[in-house]
Amino acid sequence: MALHIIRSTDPLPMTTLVVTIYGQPGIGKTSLAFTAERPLMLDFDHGAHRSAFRKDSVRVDSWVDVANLTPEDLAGYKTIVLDTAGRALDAITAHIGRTQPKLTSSSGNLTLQGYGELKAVFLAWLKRVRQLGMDVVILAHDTEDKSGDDLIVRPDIQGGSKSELYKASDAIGYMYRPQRGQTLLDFNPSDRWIGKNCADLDPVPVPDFRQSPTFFADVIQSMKDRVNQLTDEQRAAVEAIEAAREIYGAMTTAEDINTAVTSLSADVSNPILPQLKKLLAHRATELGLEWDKENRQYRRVAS
Amino acid sequence: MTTRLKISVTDLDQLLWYDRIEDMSLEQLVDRFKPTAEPSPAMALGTSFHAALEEAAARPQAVDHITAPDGTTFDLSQVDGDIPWVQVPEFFLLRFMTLPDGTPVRIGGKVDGATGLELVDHKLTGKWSGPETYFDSYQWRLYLWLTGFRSFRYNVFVKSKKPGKDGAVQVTAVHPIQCYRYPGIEADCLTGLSRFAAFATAHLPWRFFDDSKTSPRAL
Repeated sequence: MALHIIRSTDPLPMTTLVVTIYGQPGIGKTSLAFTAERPLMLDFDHGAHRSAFRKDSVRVDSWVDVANLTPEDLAGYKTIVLDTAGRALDAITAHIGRTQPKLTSSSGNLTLQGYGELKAVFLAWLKRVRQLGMDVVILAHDTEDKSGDDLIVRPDIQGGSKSELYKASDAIGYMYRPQRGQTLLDFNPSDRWIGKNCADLDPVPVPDFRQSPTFFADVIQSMKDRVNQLTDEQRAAVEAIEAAREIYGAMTTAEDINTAVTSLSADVSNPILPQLKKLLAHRATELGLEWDKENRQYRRVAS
Repeated sequence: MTTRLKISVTDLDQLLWYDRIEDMSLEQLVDRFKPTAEPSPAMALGTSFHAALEEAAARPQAVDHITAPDGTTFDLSQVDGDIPWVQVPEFFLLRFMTLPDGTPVRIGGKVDGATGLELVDHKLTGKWSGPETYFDSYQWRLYLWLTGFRSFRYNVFVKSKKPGKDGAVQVTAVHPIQCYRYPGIEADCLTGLSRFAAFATAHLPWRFFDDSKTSPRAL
């Protein structure tokens, strides 16, 4: 094994998303998930029947029921809904206990290696489902963590698995009622709850699903559109910096460098700017130049 | 004389952790902001790690050992993970502004690098306690709000307490954590900055400097 440094300048368009939604029981997470595009719910929580907007669901009693989903199993579906993440991880834990008893302690809990296996099984499953072209919506109940004097709402998921879920999710949204009669889906992090907002979305009011039966499908599509737009912008930024690096590399005099410095805009909100300044400073050092603070330009170091 | 408050992007997190660590006294918190001549061993090791990683992360490759200019070697052969390359390594960001309460501030920080519209920060820790600490942090919020970068990636490296047979520092895992700019980021940053300004006014007088000769722009 080793640390792999990878070049990610040519990211592929995002075709599938993993979205985690958490909130209080009864807030409407299951109904929300049924408004995703062609959903199939894996009902670990045995609560799909409570949703008035129920579509196809599979009552899952054991991890082996869903461990090896095939393209045929998923034909006609676009979104897999895991309801809930906590129960799904419990099912994997039970599966590990049955198939690899050495990874559990005498009290039935997973050992450290067992938790590693739990993580590996869950992530491998997630990866396989995505490779089959499915969006994944993961539902979780909420729980309050006490942090000093603060209470912070987080997904109710066991131990280290929560970390993996945070990392694997492209977006994490908290569903809550700020006031009577209004429900919000908020992907923004705050000092009161955790969130992950890959698409820069404002908090989204959750509508009556009878009037908006494709609500979550539309939210996911808008996320993909925004992420793909940002991916294009990221690619353009990387290319612009590489082009500048090449131009700077061909410069040979203090005058060349100073002309380039002068041409850079003073727009501090432009994230490319400090990178170009750094590249120019690096090239200036290579050429034996130093920064003259008083005159605000590079000059050759006096020998 | 115009006085301006000097703020580092990591200052706000010190207050955040103070809120959450029940046995930390106010005196201990204030001590953390005092300029110290010597970095702690952990900080010095972190500096060595950053120096060693800077060159390695600049191009795609598989890395199992890296060595810092001070000779410290880090064994990465147990790490099973990947991180994106860093296109432009280490640079400073500095911003001048006035907070809503009228306090002039200078906010600065040194980033480990950037690739396109993403900032990168490497962390070396002896204990991995999950990504929540990083998600909750003000550091990435301030950077993204102040600079126009789109996302911020923490590469959290976990080291073993035991050195390797060859004396190398054993690095056992890497946890990439990606944070994104979001619509409410400005309000959150201003809340944190205003709180820090009030704290500094009460407890950190050395953080205010004569600004009459400084022009209000990024240097």
